[in-house]
Amino acid sequence: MSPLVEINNLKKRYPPAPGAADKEGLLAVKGVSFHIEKGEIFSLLGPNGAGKTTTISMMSGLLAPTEGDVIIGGHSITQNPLAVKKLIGVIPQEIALYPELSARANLEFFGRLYGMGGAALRKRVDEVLEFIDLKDRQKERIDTFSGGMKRRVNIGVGLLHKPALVFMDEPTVGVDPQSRRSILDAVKNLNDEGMSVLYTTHYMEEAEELSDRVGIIDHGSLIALGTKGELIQRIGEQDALLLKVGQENAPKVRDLVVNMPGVSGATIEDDKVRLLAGRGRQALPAVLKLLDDHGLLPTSIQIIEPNLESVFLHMTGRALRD
Amino acid sequence: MDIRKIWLIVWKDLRIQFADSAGILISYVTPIVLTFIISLAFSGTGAGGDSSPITDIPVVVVNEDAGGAFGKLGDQVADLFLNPPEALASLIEARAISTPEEARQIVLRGEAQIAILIPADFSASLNTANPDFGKTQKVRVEIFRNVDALISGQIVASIVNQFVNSVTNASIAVSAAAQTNPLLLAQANPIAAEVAQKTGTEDHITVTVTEGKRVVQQGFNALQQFAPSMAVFFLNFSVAFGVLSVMEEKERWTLQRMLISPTNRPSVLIGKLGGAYINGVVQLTILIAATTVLGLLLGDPQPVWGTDLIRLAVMVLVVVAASIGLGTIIVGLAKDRVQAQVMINAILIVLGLLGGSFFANASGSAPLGPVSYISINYWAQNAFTQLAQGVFPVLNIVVLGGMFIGFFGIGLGLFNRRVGV
Repeated sequence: MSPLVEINNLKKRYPPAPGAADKEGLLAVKGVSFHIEKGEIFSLLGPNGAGKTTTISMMSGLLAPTEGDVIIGGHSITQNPLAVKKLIGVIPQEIALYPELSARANLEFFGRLYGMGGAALRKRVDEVLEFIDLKDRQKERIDTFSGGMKRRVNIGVGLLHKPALVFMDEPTVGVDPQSRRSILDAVKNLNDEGMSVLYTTHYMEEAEELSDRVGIIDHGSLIALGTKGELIQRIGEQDALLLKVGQENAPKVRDLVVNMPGVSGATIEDDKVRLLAGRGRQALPAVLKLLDDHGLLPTSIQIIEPNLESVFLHMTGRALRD
Repeated sequence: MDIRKIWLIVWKDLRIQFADSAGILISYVTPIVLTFIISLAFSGTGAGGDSSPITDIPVVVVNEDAGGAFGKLGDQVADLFLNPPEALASLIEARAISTPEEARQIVLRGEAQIAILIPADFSASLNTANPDFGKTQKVRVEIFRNVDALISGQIVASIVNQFVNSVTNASIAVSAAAQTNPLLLAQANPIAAEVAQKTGTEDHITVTVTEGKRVVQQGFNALQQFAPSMAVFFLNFSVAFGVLSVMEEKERWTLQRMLISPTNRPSVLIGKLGGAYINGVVQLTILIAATTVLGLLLGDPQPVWGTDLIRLAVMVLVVVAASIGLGTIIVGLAKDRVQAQVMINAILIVLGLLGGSFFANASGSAPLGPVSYISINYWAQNAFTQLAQGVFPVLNIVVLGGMFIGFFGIGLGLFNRRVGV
């Protein structure tokens, strides 16, 4: 079965600014290729300015690719944009709503742009208002809403026409923790209902929590692609167990654990021993038993697992938020 | 092109416009209030026409007098108006015209209120020696007046009457004196006065006052000028900010949201600019209705915008189109929304000043000379004023249409480059 989305060598070069020394302009996306399976949550993870929004803009037909193509549901965005647009819903990071109109009026306006109307539109708007938990405030103007409520309506608009694929472009930027949690839960719920999701973020935790697969993008290039486990495995990072045993006991503990099976090394850090293991959680029971046998149980234990931040750091030499 | 979606976008913009109380205040309330205040300031009552002080009555004189026994007395009548004595100088402003038909047309066009038509037999008819004088032979002068120039017509008729009677009396006196004793010619005036007394109030002249339905009223009607000028001035702002709303929608990403939907780009652009256009038409229509009511409340005898609703509707469509063209080129020239806002405010105020939006202009001519011709305000408000006075302003329509084509054509290219719709 062919994937829902196929992106082949997608490039975008912006024209140079008038009078700019660089006559070629900025190559914002440098030949990106990936695919998204039906029912998958795929995250594009990268720092600000990495090319995530430009990629989504080309995928949604807002920007014409300089090179390459996007095939969604078998339709090319360059050849048949209207067919593609019927399949996708876009939730931008901006609150793309009319503040002078009510939540319901906003939903109805955009619903009609997607060809909906009559009783079907009213029913769907009711469903979406229910989903975003704003049915009781549907008739109030958007400019009276809190930031989180606006964000929910913003999401609702993107879901009105029940798209097969939703693009969510940094939907949690600038929202409070409660709204953020609610947005992440909404993404999972949508996915449970069968919607495929392309989620862009520069928050590593969100990509880790939501994604089936992650593409890491930096300076317009896709530098890594795979599941979280695959990406970490690829860079060879190990878990670290940080055992607080006191400065006196630290050398003894190090000597005891360093030769245990599955442990590749141990170092002393002040009153702690840092122990490196391919699978830290699995090694932990044996380590604790050995230390208990010698009366050297640690007063605290910290497991540090490698994450996508580590992957990004490993591949670019920079932190995601740099 | 998807007409349904275009209308959807237009309707959405109309809803937004009427959901904005500040916008309603600026677009509707302010021009009505300003029209009321300025009209009162310039006319006292807001009504114009004959309530204005009567000075400089525009008169045309046609002197066809072929002459008679005492020479060309018609010249004296004409001269009385063309080179009036001090007492009449401020009242009459006359010029000579060669034919009665031309003179009547000038009055009909409103370029003069009165035409004095002195016939070819004027001097011959003044031959008081003729036994039929005063019976079948009477001196005839036609006063052709604008139907609205009732008082001015009476004044001019009275002057002509008085003058011709005095000439007639003098002629009678001179004739009588000459017949009895040529030496009495030196006392012609006292004799004439005596004759005049004896003849009592009997007029030897028939002054026929005819009237033509005015086509253009020359008198200044404050409401007829300021209602259009304020309406056009504020219309330009509303329309330009309507065009600017495309940039605002791009900033808040609602434009992109429309473009991402299965709606083609021309439909979105036409919907947005169409929204500004329909908003402009609605605004102008409401202002026309409101100021018409205002005129009635102020007792203005003339409809502020005229009575030809079809031609008025055509003018509204043309003026709003020109305004869209102007808004498009201003927004297209600006680098961003903030700069566009500054440019809109500056350019539209200057155009308002150049077009004479804020001062009384009784003549209807370009208030600041040729420089006013660059102002859409001048052409639009002048067109509405002419229309109110019964003239279909073809030249203004051509100029405004040209402004729409020129401004919109250039502006759309610039605008599209900026906004990228």
